[in-house]
Amino acid sequence: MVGESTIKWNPFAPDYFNDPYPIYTLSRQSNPIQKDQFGNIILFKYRDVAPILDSPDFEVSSLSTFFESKESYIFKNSSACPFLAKTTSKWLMYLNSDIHRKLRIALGKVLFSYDFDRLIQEAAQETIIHFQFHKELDLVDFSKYYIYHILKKFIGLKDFASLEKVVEYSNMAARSQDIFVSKQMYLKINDCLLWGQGLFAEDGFKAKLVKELEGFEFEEEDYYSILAVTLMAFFETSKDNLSYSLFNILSIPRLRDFVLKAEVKEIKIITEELMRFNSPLQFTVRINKKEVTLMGQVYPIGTRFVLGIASANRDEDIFEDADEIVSNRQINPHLAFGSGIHTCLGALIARKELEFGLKPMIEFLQKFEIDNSHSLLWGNQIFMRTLDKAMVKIH
Amino acid sequence: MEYKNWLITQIASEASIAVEEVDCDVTFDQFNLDSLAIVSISFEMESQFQLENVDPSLFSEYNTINKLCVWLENQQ
Repeated sequence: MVGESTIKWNPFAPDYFNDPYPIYTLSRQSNPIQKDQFGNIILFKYRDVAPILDSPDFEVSSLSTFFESKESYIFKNSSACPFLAKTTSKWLMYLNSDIHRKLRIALGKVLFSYDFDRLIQEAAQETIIHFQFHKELDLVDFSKYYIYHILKKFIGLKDFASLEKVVEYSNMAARSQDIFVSKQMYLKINDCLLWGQGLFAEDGFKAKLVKELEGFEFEEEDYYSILAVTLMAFFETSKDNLSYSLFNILSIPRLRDFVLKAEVKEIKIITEELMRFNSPLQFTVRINKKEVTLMGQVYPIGTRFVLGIASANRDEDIFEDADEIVSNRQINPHLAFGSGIHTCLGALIARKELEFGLKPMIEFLQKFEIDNSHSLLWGNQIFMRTLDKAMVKIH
Repeated sequence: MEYKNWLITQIASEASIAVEEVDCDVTFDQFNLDSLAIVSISFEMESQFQLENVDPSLFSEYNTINKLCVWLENQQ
């Protein structure tokens, strides 16, 4: 029952960002449905999270509407031009109903007009060549380089859009979706989103998008909104998933050996397992359109449910040895890409990035070992867990 | 007094009321502060008083300006 347990999820607790999983486990065991001080209902068990993702009785919470309601507060003493609501207005994962369906189809058509198999395989080789003479390297930098080189080949970036600028832009866009963000951070994000209007080239992806979206009566800012979310969604979670996957594989000899010997089928299986284990998107939000009863408690229409995807993906009721990476896990109904009508549009590409990248990367990286003189550094993000630094050095 | 005056100014600004209207024994929820305002004050508190990772749930536990002042004094 909500509120009776002393076990409370608190992302501000010491060490939370280094490892949020212990509190997820305790919450699943002792307090799987929690209410925070702001009225959010936080769910931790797979049996509660999975059905909501699939249910037509829930909808996503509009990020743009949230910003519209908060911009007068955020920009009260600022001369900056409010751009948060505009930039997030066409972010697919925060849209419902008809506009969501139509935009998803159109964006899917543009996205899958590219030969990602080739782009990904080329980027994997370029990445390995780029780092071939390094005696030590940061797996996060390695992953950023790889994803950036896939991204820039399809989305069309202007010359000044260096890796560093794209990294910062993507991270700021990711942070805009987090929970418990301060207005000071929103102002920084706003500056970055304003600056980012100049990032994208007119030809290529944008030109295809404009053509596919004929009849939508979209304006320039709408196209920018779609480009922004495409960049963030493509770059951020892929980079996070790959960097932590590489770290885990290099840390655990049985995983490294598995990948080195794996055929295509085995690589696909471990790819799913890494997605489950890493869950770069740790939480997502849904609002109920009808009254809902969970564990005997009635929730009125419009309750904000924070769904613990990462926690659900470690639920022992569903996944045996849930806190282990089981390289040949056969049944793996993980929720890392969500589920239902808002399933991640880029899931297929994210899978290919690991499927094509993992084996050649581990073949190259097997000469490196984890550098224990450097701790893993995690970003202070709640919804999108991000590794900031993971150093390896040559044996 | 430094903490109290600073908190009164912050709460007045966030709740858009005059500093004279801020009662130091009234619970924060009566100022109608939402999560964004609470997180923003926490963030400001970190830089103002050189604190690390101020937990916004402090505002539930120490739920008036006077109570939060006691907590702040104990941090120094």
